[in-house]
Amino acid sequence: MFKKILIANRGEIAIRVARACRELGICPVGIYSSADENSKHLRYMEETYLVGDPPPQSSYLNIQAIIDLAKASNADAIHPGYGFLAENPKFARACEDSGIIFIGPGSKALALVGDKVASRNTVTKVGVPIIPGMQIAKKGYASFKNIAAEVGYPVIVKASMGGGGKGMRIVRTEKELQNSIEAGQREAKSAFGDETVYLEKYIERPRHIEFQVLRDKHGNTVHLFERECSIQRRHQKIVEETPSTALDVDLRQRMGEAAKRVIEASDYTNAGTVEFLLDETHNFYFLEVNARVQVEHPITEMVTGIDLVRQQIMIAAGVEIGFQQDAVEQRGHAIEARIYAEDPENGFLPSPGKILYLDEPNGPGVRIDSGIFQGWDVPPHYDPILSKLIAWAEDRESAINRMSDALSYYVILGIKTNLGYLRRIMLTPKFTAGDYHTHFIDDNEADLRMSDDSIHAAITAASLIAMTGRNGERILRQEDEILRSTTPWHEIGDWEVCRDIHE
Amino acid sequence: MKYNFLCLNKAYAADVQKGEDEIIVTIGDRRFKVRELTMHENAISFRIKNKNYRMPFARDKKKIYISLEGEYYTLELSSGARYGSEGPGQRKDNVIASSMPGLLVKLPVKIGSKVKPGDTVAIVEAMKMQNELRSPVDGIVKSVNFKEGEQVDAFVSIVEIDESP
Repeated sequence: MFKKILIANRGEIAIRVARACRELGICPVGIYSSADENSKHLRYMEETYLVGDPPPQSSYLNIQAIIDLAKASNADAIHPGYGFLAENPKFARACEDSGIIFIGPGSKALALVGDKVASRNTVTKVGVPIIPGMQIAKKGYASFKNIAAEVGYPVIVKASMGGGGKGMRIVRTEKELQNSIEAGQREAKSAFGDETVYLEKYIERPRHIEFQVLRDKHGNTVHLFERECSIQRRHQKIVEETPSTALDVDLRQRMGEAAKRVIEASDYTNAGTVEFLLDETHNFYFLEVNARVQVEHPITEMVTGIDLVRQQIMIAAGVEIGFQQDAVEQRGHAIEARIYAEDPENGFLPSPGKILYLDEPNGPGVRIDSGIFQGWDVPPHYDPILSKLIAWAEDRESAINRMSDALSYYVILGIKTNLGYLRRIMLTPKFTAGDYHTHFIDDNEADLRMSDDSIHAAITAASLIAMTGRNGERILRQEDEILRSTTPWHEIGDWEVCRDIHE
Repeated sequence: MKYNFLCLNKAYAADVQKGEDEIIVTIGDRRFKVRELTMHENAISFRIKNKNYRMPFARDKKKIYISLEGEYYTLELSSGARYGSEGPGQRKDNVIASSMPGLLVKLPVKIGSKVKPGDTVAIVEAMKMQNELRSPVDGIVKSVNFKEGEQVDAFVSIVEIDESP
């Protein structure tokens, strides 16, 4: 087993990996950019190193700097987390060349599944269906135009290195094609350092269903069932659940076996996720392999009882998976909600800033993978994910109720978050019925709108709060007074204590 | 005491007065009798009629943040005169500004460029997301206040357009 693992990431996932390391008796080594010197993940590390300036290219995407730190700290392995360098074959290769174990697939398998075109060819050979489209990522507008015409609009432009919707554009007419390709390339370049994009037929109203697979270096392959990830905004998942309400025993079994064939055909080891689109008549199409631990991995852990990050580390160390397919069970129902620093009432725009107040929920079946703390300034340089709330219960209805309740007791103030929005999703009839697809957010806009029923209560509260002071000093002094009294009204006494805000 | 708030892009005026044994808060034409008010550093509670409210809150110089029944309200304190030089309330069509702070990654126009409604005039990136700012008007670019690669604040003019008559 490894002695020391460098965790080449930040935020909640770095903490998740550090926990797994500690449980295995491995020393976790953390890295941070200068924007993250006070970040929570560093508290979970035994050693920490500054990797570079805030921009990702200088820090969490800086292959040479990370390899140098791994060598300097004598780490025998690197866990990349998700995002950043997690699926970058150059990084996996750089680890291999330096004699450091990359906790993930080998660089060859990573290059294969990361190349969406090559991976489509591979899966076709083992009889797994794919969506019609570009077979080779071509340069030049003409070839995009021809293939779009061949498969028919609408089509979708995607980043070859991509994931999470970055660099993706749906194109409904030829007129929009060129702009969409360029926009996709820019986003791909900025997010993945590679601007290659490709094009395929766009399937209307699909469900996004993925299967978690583990494969060890001895050729043992198991799948850990599905995750339903159809609740997406801007092609990025925000709520995931397992089991999916769309699968029956037979379809689940066929998709699980297909996922294992994809992983085996790619000679892929470690944890990987095979993503499928499921159309309205229950045909499934291979989408891509996510060659990393995924943001939504906890729901699989909750229903199977298998620790995925621990498995990743053990598989990387050459340990055999200690159980067979028929020993894996789905028990109960799990839902994950991703908490983002963003403003759902303003087009989901990112909302970095200082967390002035934080109160995280707990209770039976409630898990929080969080990377934040009260007083922390959320930096603007990285993905806006703050934490993940996971609810497990014996059945779906109870899990939804548990999630809804936990969301309403999750208080993050000072920055905009999607907490209220996520709770509205839990209460939406189409969601509670389990009847949804990837356009859920757009199709249920009316149900998801923030109601202003309670606005008067909020304004009443704000007026009373404002009354206690109009600038920082006064607020502090008066709060002290208020803290000494349970009835500030009497304590404040004279109205002249605070002057009108207009003055 | 009168307070003006901006919440969810709407303006609200509230007036707080002391009543007999309650506080009376008037918001527009609605009157609320507030009883049993208690306030601590990050929590306020009170009763209106038979309903009890308990809300965690936080505040900074300009805003009050409240969690209420699973929803999150950001109430921006405003006093008509001071508010408006920045902020979404006073945005003009011919001034292109970003509603989030970020890095100006692309600025495809310069002074004198002709723009039509829907034309991209700037792209701002924050937290790995790109936001395309499009011109809502027909016209000619009158001023350009930033360069590509510069950091821009929210609601600060990046490009101004002289509207075509």
